[in-house]
Amino acid sequence: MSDKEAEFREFVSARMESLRGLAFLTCGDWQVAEDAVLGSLTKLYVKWNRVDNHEAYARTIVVRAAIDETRRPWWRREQSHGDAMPDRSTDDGTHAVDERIRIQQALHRLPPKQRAVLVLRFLEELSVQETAAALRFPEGTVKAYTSRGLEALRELLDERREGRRAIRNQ
Amino acid sequence: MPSEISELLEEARTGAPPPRYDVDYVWLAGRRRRRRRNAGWTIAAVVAVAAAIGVPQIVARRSDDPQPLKLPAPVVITTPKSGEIIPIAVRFHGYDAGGFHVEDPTGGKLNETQTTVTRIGGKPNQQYALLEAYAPGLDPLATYPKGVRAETDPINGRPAFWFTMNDEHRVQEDLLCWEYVDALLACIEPEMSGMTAAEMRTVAEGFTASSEREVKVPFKVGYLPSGWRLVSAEGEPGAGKANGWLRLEPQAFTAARFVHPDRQYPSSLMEEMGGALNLQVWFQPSSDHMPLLPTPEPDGSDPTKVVCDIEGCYHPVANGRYRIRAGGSVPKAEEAKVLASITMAADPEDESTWFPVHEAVPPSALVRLP
Repeated sequence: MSDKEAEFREFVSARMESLRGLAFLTCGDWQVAEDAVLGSLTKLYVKWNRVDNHEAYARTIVVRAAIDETRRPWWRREQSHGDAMPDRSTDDGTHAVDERIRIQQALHRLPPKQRAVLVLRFLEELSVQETAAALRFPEGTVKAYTSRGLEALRELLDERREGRRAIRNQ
Repeated sequence: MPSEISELLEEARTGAPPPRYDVDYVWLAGRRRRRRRNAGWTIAAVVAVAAAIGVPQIVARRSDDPQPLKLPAPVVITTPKSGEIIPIAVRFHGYDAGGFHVEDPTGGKLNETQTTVTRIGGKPNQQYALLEAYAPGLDPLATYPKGVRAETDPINGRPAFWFTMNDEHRVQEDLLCWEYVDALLACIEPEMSGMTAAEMRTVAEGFTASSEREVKVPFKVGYLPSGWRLVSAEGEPGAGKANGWLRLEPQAFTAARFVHPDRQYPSSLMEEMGGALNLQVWFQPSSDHMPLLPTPEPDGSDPTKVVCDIEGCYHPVANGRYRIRAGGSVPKAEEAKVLASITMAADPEDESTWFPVHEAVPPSALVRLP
C-alpha cells in the first residue's frame, strides 16, 4: 500500500464519523447521509493527489451531496423506510433522547439549504465567505439563511430555557 | 446564541446507528471508482435497464361543480410518442396572486417545470412553497405509494385534490394538486415558512398554463462523451446576471427513469453506479465564481485560456464578464474537450440569440420516449 493510500485510509478513519453527522444534519436521514459520505469519499479518493485541503474538500462535497439527496423525489419515498429524523419522540423514557429528537425535529423543519448553512457556520465554524464558497451561494444568501435559521431555532431554544426553569423550580 | 446553536447541533448528530461501511469498504469503493474512471466510464454502457414502461395516465375528470370557468388562452403542449424527443420546456409564466409571487420558471427537466413561491414584500429569498407543473405521460404522485387523495373544490373549473404523502417519518405538509390542462397535474408543496390552505388555493387559482416554450441557453455544445443524455436545462437572461445550465447523466440512468411512472430513477441505481454521475455545462457571471479551492484566475484578456480545477474546466467569455464551464464525472481531458466544443451565443445577454436546448447539444444527447 502506498503512502497516499495509507493517508487516505487514515483520513477516512479519523473523519468518516464526523462527516456522517454533518451529512445527517443536512439531509435528516442516517442511511442517506452515509451514502452521501461514501460517494463523496470515493470521489476524494480519486482526486486525493490533486486536492490540497482534504478536510475542506470532503466537508464541501459531503454537504453538497446531502443537499442533492434531499432534492430527489425518491429521497422522500425512501424516508418512509430509512432512519429519518422521527416526527415524534420514541417512548424510550430517557430525557436525553427526547431532547435530541426534539432538536432533530426542529432542524428538520428547516429547508435543507438553511440547515446546511447553520451546520457549516455553527458546527464546522466556517466563516460566511467559507460557507458561501462551500455551498456556492452568494454571501448575502448565506447571511439570510443564517438569520432565518437562527430565528427558527430560537423558538426551540426558548422552549429549552423554559423547560430548564421548570425543572429548577420543581 | 451561536454557542447554544453549536451545542444543539452537536446534540442533534448524536445517536447515530452503527455504520454500514468501514474504512476498508470506503477504500475499496474508491479504488473501484478510480478503475471505472480509468476505464473511460464504460460502465454506463453495460448496465442494462429495461426501458419498457406502462405509464399510467392521470385520469381526467371534469367537475360537475357549476362554478364559473376561467377561459384560458389556447395552449399547446406536446405529448411525445414513443421514439420522439421529450422536450425540456416550461409550460407557464410567473405571476402574482394573493400577496404571493410565483417566480417565472427558467428551467425544465424531463418530468417537470418547477419554480418557487415567495411572499410579495417578504424577506428576500424566503421560499414559501414550490410550484411544480408536470410533463405529459407520467404520474408524479407515484413517488408516494402510501399517499392519499382528498378531492376538493375545483380550481379554475378543473379537478383538484389535497394529497397527503403519508410518509410517517417526515414533518410534512399536504400538497394541493390540480389539473392545469387536461390530464396534466400541477402541485403546490408548501415549505415550513407557512402557507395556509386558503393561500395555497389562491396561488393555484392564479395559475395559467401557457404554450410550451423550449428552454434556451446562451451556448451550444458540439461534443459530448458517448452515452450522456440531457436531463435538465436552465437559462435565465438578464444584463450582468445571465446564466445557463445543462445537466447530463449516463444513458443507463436515463433509461432507468422510465421504469417508474414518476420518471425518477431508483436509489439503488445510484449505489450501483457509485454515486451520482453527471456532466454539467454552465455559464455564469464571473462575479458569481466561487471556487471550492484556490485556483489560478484567468485574467479575462485571453479568451482561449482554459483553467481546470476540481470542479471542471472553464474559460472567460464575453470580455471576461462571464465564464463558461464544463465539469462532472468525466476525466479532465473530456471536460476540456467539451469546453473547447462550445459555441457562445452572439450576445450572451440577449436571449433572442440563445439556442433552444434541442440545438444546444448533439442530437444523440436528447432523450427519446421509449
